[in-house]
Amino acid sequence: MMVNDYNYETVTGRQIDLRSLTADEKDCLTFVLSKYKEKPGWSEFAAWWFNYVDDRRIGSDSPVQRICSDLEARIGIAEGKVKPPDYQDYLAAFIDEQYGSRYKFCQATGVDQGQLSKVISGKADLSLDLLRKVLSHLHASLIIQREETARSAASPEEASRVLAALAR
Amino acid sequence: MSQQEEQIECWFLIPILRNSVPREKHPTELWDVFHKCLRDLFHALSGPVDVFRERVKIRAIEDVRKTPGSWPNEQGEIINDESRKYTLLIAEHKVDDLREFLEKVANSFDQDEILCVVRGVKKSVLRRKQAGFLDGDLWSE
Repeated sequence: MMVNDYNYETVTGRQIDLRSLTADEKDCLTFVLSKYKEKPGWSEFAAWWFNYVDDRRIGSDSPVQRICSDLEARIGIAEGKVKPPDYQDYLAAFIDEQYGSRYKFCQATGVDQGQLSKVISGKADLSLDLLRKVLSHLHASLIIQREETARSAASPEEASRVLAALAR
Repeated sequence: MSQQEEQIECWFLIPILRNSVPREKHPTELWDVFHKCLRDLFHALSGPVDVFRERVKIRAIEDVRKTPGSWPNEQGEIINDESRKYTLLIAEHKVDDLREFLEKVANSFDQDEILCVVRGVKKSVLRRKQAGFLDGDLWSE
């Protein structure tokens, strides 16, 4: 899952540099992790972290929000209530991260916006050639892996393991 | 001097499955988008400290399954989806904002109707295409 000790990777492949966290954010996340390790349910954890992070006045743009959402998603996936990410989710996340919107991505790369919209919404698939072109613009590559490996990478336990480095 | 606004309790349900066949669970990050929009809609973190900050407070988020027959939809059909129930405390004058927000939620989460109850009164929100989608929804056409 992670590239190195200071990188947190979400289930959709977004990278968050933990070194960018302020002391307050690290403190907040350390406490979140302690609650996470109690193995709360999906919605129980969602309700708790939403209010806790709010009470700590952590801004909506803080990486803490993204990490907490990811922790929540992992529980939801494990409980069978959230769709595990597939290639459309990775594409959407990478496009959002690098270009800000599908529109900007399509303007910059010449990829047809209508076709891309259909692909990301699950109504169509990309041809392999077009997928390669899109991945090239996103500095990404296609990987085939065992389902077990994918499940492990998306698990709550893996996220806990990575975030435990915060406490060190 | 603080300006106190009465807060009222309301709740709404978001089914965990989308309506379109085959009925699938929502995209991984869509719940994150929803929470951001919910927070942005009701949150005011800036401003002088003596002004009451209208903030949404989540009383609870629960996984529920509706009791059969308890809440038929507008067509009178009994829908028994497992759903996520959000119970909020919001300022009363924000109820219309909440309803507008839920119209976008209906589109982004692919639902014909979002069951919403305000002070014990059913005020469901029907899907309205013109309302658009949640800001940051990357998955809807």
